Amino acid sequence: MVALDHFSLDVWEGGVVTLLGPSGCGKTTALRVIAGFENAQGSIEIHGRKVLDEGVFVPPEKRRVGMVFQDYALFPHMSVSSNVAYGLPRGDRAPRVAEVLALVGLTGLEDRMPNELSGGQQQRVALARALAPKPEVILLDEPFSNLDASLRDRVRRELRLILTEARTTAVFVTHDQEEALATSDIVAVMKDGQVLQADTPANLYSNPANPWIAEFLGDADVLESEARDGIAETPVGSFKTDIRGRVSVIVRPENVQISLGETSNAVVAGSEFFGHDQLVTVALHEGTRVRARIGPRPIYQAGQACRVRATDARIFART
Amino acid sequence: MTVGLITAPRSRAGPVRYRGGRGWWAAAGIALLPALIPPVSLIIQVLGGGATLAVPSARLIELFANTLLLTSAVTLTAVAIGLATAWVTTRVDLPFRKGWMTLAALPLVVPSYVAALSLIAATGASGVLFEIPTPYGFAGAWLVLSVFTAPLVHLTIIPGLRAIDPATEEAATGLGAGRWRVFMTVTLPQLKPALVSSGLLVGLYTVSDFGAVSLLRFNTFTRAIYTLYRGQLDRRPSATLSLILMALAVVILVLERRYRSRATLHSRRPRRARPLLELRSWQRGVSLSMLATYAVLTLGIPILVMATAVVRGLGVGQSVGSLGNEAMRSLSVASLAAAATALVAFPVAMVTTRKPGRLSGWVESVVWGTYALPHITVGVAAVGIALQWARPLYQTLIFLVIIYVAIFLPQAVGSAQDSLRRASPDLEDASRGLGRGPMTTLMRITLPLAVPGLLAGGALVFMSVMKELPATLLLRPNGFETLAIRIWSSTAEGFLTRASAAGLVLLVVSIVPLFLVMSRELSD
Repeated sequence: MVALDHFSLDVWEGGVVTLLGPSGCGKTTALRVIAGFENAQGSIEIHGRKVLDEGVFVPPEKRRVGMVFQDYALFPHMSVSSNVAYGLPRGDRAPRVAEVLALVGLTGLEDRMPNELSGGQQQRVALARALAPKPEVILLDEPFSNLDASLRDRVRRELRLILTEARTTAVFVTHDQEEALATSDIVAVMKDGQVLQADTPANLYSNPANPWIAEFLGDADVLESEARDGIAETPVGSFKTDIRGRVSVIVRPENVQISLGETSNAVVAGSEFFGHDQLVTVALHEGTRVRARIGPRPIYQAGQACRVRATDARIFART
Repeated sequence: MTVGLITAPRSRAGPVRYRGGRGWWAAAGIALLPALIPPVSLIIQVLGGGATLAVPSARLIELFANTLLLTSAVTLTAVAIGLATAWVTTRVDLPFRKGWMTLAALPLVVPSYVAALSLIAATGASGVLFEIPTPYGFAGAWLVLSVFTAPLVHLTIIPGLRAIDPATEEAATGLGAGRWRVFMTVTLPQLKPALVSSGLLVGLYTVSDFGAVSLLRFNTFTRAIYTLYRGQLDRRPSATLSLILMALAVVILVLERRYRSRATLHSRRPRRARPLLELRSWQRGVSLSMLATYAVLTLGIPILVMATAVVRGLGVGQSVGSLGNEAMRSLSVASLAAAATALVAFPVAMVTTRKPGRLSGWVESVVWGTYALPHITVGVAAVGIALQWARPLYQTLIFLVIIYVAIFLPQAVGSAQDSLRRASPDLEDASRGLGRGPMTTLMRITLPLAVPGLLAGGALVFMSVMKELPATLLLRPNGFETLAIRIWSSTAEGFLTRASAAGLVLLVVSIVPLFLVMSRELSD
């Protein structure tokens, strides 16, 4: 069990937050603490109700928190409908079961046993089971990691729609950056048990709080420089900054442009072609390598001299 | 939702309050109490009687020599037989290969005293098969124990053989090695952990065996313990020998467990099926006749000899006695013990699978430790403790069942753990997260998932109690004759008709369920 270190987080009602971090950063522990499966020091308030505080520990069954486990944890000895009905109060459960199964698109599979379902279907049963008692918060631990890549994107989009429709506050956990950026209102980047930065996906991507986050979220190259008089000079351009002294200049490939016919400052080292775009690696004359994400045309040859320019960069003090 | 400055305890030691768990630990502790009886009681009896050695040292040396001689002879022979049956039935393309594989495992159900009875009834002046003197002493004990413990080797070697990557043998063949050289230089070395482990299992069985050595009159520790126990009012000598034997058994068990963990560390990656060896017809003939001889020796002869003894005895007006009563007693005490053991095993399996840590490791060691204890020593220990502190319990059915629980707990715990390990703890968390309390979670999730394992464990215990002899002999209520007791005492007194009739009933009762279990376990 990985420790949490002064972890804190705020989620508004109906919001979708993702805890993103490398494995072992404490994100699953955070979920288990919120659900009440692990104890911890600190405080948790759900919709104004204290469930954890000094001397307060509300057991998981009284927290009204739904959890979707990484391996789904469907009860193997119960049918789909029994699994979904499990968390509902006694009385007429059938209408709610039917409603939730319809929501996740599993109507007709009520009597199947979990081992008779595909991975995607199991995942949706797990979601339906967690949503059925109308929890105030739903927690999802790497919900897509056991699905095929081809299925993952589709299920992810569907899940987002279902959550919006159910108007439930949701906390995801994942180590997949793309998944986090695509599904969430807010992404909280975690490392060593702490939240380093929490912001909207767009802000997080364009304004990372430190070089580690910048490199963790998507492609980035680092150039070293010395900032003087509010300007950091690099071979790919000059950038304004308030920092003085040694700095790291972080450049994302989509902000790098390549042109021919001018005085060259680099040679093409190689390229990866993806169809809709390509990633060209160039070696700057002073030694560093920088990547540029450009359109499918033109095709550059390795060894070609060229000029490289960055239109935007983030600047951090070097420690 | 607001999560404010959470700091989770860095170690698992911090209280995870929602799981409670104190109840489970208490229940597991109570379940372990019977298991602690034997060693504690023996130490008290031996040390409490003063520091002098209660047994003459010349006697001790003789017992040690006999026990070690028998154990090493049986181990070597059984390993040779078991390796042969395992190799032939896993590797060679034989007709009814799977059937032979199961058949070679079956002698495991024949208790050693039934095997001894067959040998005694088959030979001697009025022998059913050979009118030669009965081989009492070392020869008889060695023969019976080797042949009937070989299935322990057979069953341990089969997974070992299956774990060997066929590519290693093919590589050797590709380098020009012949079949024999491949076996000696590639196959056998990879089998070493399984061979050593199975040899130690046979050794453990042999030092613990009471039935065969007592009926065939070979003086090992177990027989001497019983003789001293019966013959002297002073219980100290038998307690001293029991303590020594117990220590010997624990040493063997510890060695075995160390080797077993190495044996299962073999790579487990899936690999393509291995083609079976196609032997020449004479080689197949030899293989088949070896298997057939083994089956005849271990199953055919005992059944034939006992049946003949019964028919002959009835012909000359002997009676088979009140078999029905004895069978009923055996069945009922075995059912009672099976139910009690399964019940008690559940909390032990819960703490060892759900609450890992030093304490649960300790619980597991105690459970497995009892497995090593020769039943005769458990009997002596239990009598000692009953006479000293719990006189009213002495020779009661309840006490007998408690001791059965102590002896057979590992079997039930093992299979309960299997089913609990297959059910992820996430299932229980999921139930709690869905608003169900600990009691509901136990009744609707944990227990239903554990039931198959508990039933399987109960069935194993049932079969073991049916056959148990030495502890029953010392602890049974007066006049409580079970099938096992009847077979043993009638054989010892020379009433072979009665003994054989009971032996046949016992074999039939235990062979059918075991056949079902075995054929399922041995399928790839």
